[in-house]
Amino acid sequence: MLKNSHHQVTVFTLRELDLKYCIGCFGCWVKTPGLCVISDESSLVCRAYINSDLVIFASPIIMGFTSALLKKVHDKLLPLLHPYLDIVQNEFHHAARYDRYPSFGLLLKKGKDTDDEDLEIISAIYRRNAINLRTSLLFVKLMEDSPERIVYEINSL
Amino acid sequence: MKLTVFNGSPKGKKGNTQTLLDHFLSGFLSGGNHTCETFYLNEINGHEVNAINFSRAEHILMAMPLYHDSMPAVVKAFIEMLPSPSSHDVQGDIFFIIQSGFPEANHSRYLERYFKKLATRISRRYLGTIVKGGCNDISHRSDWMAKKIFKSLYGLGKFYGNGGSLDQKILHQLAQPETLKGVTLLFLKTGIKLGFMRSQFDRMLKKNRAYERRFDKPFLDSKEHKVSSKQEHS
Repeated sequence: MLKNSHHQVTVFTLRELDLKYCIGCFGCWVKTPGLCVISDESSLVCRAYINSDLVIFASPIIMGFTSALLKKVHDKLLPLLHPYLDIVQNEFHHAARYDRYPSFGLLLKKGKDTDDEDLEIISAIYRRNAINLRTSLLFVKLMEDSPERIVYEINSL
Repeated sequence: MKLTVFNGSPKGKKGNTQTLLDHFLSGFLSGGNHTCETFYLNEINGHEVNAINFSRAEHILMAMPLYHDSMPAVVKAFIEMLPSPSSHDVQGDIFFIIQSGFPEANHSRYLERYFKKLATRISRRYLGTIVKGGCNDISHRSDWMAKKIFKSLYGLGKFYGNGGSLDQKILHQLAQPETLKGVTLLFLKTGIKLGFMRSQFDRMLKKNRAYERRFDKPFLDSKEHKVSSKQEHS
């Protein structure tokens, strides 16, 4: 539907990608600046991410948070930042490596045990992520919402 | 009392999380007839067995670094393996350690909130979360340099061993600064503008002969951007 609205869309099905865990080695900061030293397909995600205007993270809610699979990707976005420090909103954050970063939105599928507090906790953490990645969390939508409505809202951004 | 520890650091035994744990546990083991056992969550194949150990344990401590404002992905994968409790009766208690490189505790408070909720979800009594910022190289710091932090963790461990709860006073002190304020904030802002606080990374970059490439933007598609990134280098 988004494609039909004249947007260029790249979709990653994360479970089909070869993704290794970030082990916090800082190689992407101090050995090969901007690139993960562990070879996997996270570089495809990083490239698409930084060249996008909007990134949508879609995930089921499992045990009150987005999936470990999606979290793996978040951890692997570290090469997009710089080791140097910066102060953003009166807090320490890592400096930006790139001049611009995409906005992001969250598309969640509720689990049987999901309640409003879970949604608040997830949104709060993603708003923190947005500060880290020099952007803002534009929306949090549920899969239960109608796709037409979500697309309409994205088109109105 | 037997304490079961789950170290969620992707670096396992070699990380800053382990250093904090060592000091907490030596305080805990110093009094009474206590024992502890540590499981490492960075061994991904071990999640299934670790989840069984988890559900059998009465007293649990989960410790980890903060990764992108939440738990490392490998810890989330482990949490997804936890069986839902067979009854709503309290299954035991749980508390957490979150350590971060950034000095302010505020970064970790969002994950702390998640853990508080997680405790309810798995029917465990929540004892609290030990939050400590500024831990970026603590595993390499001498006892003398990190004396205050290590002493606080030892104190927390000892207190926990004595009464099965966390000393709120030490917990509060250890978390300072909660946020950056006033003169400190002003000083840091100026320092960052002047390029201070880069030495640790610059040293590593130079050692790896990567210093000249430190501003690289390898993923940019458009030529326009690449030119601007080159200019920054010169």
